[in-house]
Amino acid sequence: MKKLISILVPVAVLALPLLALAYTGGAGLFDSPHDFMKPGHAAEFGVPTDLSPATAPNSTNAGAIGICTFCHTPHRGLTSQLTWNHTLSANDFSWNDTTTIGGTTLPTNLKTWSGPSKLCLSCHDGSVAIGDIAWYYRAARTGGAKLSGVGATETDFLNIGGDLDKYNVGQGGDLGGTHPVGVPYPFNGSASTYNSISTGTYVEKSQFVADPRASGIRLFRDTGSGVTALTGGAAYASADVGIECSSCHDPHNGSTVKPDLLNDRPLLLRGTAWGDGAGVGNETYAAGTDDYICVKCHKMNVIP
Amino acid sequence: MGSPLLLFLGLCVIAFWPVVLSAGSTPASGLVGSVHDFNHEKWRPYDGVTAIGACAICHTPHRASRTRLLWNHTLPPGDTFVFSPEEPATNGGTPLPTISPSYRGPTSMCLSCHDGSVAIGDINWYDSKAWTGSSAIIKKTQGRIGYHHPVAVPYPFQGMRNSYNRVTTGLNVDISKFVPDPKAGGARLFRDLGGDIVAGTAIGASGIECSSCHDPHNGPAVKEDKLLRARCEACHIQ
Repeated sequence: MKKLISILVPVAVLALPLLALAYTGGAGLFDSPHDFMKPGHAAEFGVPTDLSPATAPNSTNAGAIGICTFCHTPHRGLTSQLTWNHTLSANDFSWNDTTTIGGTTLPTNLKTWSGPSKLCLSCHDGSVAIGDIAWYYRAARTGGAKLSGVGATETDFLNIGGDLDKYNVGQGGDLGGTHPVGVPYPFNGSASTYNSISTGTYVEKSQFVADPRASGIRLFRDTGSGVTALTGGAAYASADVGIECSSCHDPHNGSTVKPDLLNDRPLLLRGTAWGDGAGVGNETYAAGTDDYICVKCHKMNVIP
Repeated sequence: MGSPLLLFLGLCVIAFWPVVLSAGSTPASGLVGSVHDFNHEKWRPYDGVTAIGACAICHTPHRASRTRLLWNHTLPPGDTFVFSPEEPATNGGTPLPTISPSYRGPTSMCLSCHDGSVAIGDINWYDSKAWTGSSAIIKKTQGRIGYHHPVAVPYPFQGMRNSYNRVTTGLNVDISKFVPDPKAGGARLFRDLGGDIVAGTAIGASGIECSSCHDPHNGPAVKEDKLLRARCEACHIQ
């Protein structure tokens, strides 16, 4: 018995970090990389210790940090839309090309554009600490670590399984090498205008899925005075449809996010990062089934 | 050896090279199962990675080495492609260009794999890091692309001399022997916007790239089994 225990205990100890890394795509916000209620966040991201559930569990002083708090606040948000709480980046974002090869102009106004991508970039460009927020427990807060990796060491608190900088996008405002966002999508196989940008003349519109919402992609529409999500599956005819970061990623790890069976990397993707998408058209997703994200929009797998 | 023979041999190489590459692929059936479907087991060159994305060897949504086409495959560092130096121009007098690493046309991306100097699996970003592959491609031009059909050169679009990639259609080119707009035959032209190369045509500034004749995605325009979207007659009137 003693021998068995001597084996099991070290195994259990070794397994603990794996348990801490547990993350299931599509299982919701709790325990996902964007679960900011986790105790580790307090120390890692400079949250004042009086708010830390690690040092003051069940504290009457402040209690635990709200799971939504780093991104949203019910009061004194920086924007009314999404009641955004995280300090926005001062970066102007742009790509190092002016157009795609099909002639669609790449935006230079994400900072002022009303689409949600700038909210994602407020953390992911690495210029603002993860813990910099406008309002929580009667005060603005200042964090420590940034997604540029500065001041941060790898921990398992975020379940990201690597250095923070791996999740940096748009450092210094440079979105070169990043998939365009804040740009039109050729919805229904037709040109769209979104964020004052029209689908390029030479974009092969037939090579885009007409309505990718059916496979979990989230589209947006430019109302002329703002941006709204184009949810549901009802037919939509206006040529004002576009994409943002959250077209492919679900920051809340909702039901459209697929478990990444490759290595369980928490990409919060509304599909898998592997495969060839042969099963996408059928939408018969089950564990182990290919649900490749790229071909949900790019029609490269479709037999013409 | 006369230029017509060289041209013939070059066309033969161009014609038969894709035959080898595309073995087993059904023409026009899309990327899945094609030679460029890198989800296939034979294209998984990495230890510890059980599956990759079909697009991943060529494209990535983040940290691409080039924004244009979100190019992911490692570009040969400092590699400059030249045609055979003994033949600086075509029969018609169109200068054969040098394709430098900074060239903006898509040909440089095709050559990043097909020149054989970089392993197929060498990519900039997948699963949160760069990767190094090991598979070698069958052809090794490694900076020399002589004896291949010219690319990154002007096309006599609309029956006139064009300038493209700082090259102008030669004075002795018989423009009447070129289809004014080869799009109908399936060929894909490109336009030079002052050094930036994008798809489409522009009067006086149109040209051709590898993908003028080949469709790497095995799309609906591909004919036969050579990833060819256009045959010779799409451009050449004989």
